[in-house]
Amino acid sequence: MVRKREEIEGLIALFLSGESSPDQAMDLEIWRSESEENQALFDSYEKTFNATHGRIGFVSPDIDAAWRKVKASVKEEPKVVPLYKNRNFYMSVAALAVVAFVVGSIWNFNPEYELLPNATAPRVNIDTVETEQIIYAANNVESLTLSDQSIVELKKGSRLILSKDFNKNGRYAELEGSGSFTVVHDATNPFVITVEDLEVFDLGTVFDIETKGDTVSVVVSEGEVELRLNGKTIALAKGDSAYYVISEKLIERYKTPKDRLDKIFVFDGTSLSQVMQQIGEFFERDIVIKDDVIKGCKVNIEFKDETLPMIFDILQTIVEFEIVYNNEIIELYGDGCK
Amino acid sequence: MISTTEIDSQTLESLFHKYYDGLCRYSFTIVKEQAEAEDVIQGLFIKLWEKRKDLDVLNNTKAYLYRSAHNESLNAMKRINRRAMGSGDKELQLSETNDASAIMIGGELQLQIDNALEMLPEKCQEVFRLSRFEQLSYKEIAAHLSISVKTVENHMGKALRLMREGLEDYLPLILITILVSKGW
Repeated sequence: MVRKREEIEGLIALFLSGESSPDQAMDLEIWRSESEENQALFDSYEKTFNATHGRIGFVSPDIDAAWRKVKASVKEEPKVVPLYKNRNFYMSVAALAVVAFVVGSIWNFNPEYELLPNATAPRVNIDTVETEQIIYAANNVESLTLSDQSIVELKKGSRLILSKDFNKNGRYAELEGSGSFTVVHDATNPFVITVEDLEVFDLGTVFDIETKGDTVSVVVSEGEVELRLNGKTIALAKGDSAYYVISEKLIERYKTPKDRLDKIFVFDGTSLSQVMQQIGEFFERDIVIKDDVIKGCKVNIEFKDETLPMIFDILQTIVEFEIVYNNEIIELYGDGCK
Repeated sequence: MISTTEIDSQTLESLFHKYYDGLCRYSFTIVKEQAEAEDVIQGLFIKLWEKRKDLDVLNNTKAYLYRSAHNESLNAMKRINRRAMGSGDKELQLSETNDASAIMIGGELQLQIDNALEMLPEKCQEVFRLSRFEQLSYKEIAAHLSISVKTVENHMGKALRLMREGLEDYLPLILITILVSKGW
């Protein structure tokens, strides 16, 4: 579109002064995108405006880093598909009949079992968990809504075993592996996840449980949980975390300063070893980079109010490394920088 | 054109990558702070996601995002004002056109800016001074000078062009000075 010079000048000045309407801002953006010449002209006007107004101009943001921050707050809700609408309905019925037969056989053989840790996962209609007892995320992360409307994201290779009367007489489940839980709190209907001997009691909560080898980490994002192990209890509030060493039957709280959630880390061309030193000092964790080749990898990112697991998740998209939780030491392994 | 009922995480990511830069740039002109602008726009996308089921069909996603960015940026600026007033820090108190982040450069470079300003036509110079130093809005300038807002727009555009021509040789140095004085 051909525009009069005066019109464009006025529009640019209006925009830079912060007075343009949304329509005018869009109009200007369209004009800028029409040619490199237009973009260059806009840039020179913008520089002049900043120079004469004594201010630092807008710097194009790191969109990928920004998206990762947004993505952390965006979770796809599981789609609840009515069973009768499932195109595999008849196959499902058949599969359930087989499972029911197996379950019934075990139940009759040993009625003291309420959980069925060794049964085969019914890989049918996993989004509508009404009667299934075992959910197994064989190949992918599985999101599911339980009958109490609590939401579980089960990590690949993990298994969740619901008590037979789940949501009728308490909400008890056993976890093998890792998962994220967004629990609909009901004080009269306790929600308890068992991992080996550890019991995680929900007190109105969003929390993650991660099993790595011999160590189970529990991180609370919202609300509170209580960990119970052999008579010892640890209360965790938002931002708190704790770990459980299975072989030693030990639970300990990760030491986390109260201001942790307000902490902002800014890394600009910072080496991974320096990043880990800062993060480790702040979260009071021993983080050891085991492979020298990744120590110098440069990191450009800002973290604000992030938990340690989230920081690791994001860093792993920048530098390829594996995390091994070796009791109280976090070990990082990698082959090189991306 | 999409409907929010069609927005899944992939669509959201696509919209984010397409519009984030432009929306942040727009928000920045209002809130004057890069980090604040980015927070506003990230929050906007999170809200879009959270409300995707409550919203009816969107006829124009881009227009929706720009309108929301405008509103959220104005709200953010009011929050900044309230915080500044609450803390009693008058330096930080912003009006709708104020720019507390601005600095005076001083010295030879400021002299060059002053000279370029002096070279502007009288009315053009007056409009620019009211905007830059009195921090009046276009509407306020129009009322003050008994001219139309459109005329103010034209004067400001012209002032910017003439200042650009007058300061062409000094712009890089001025901008570096600003960056240094801001601690970059």
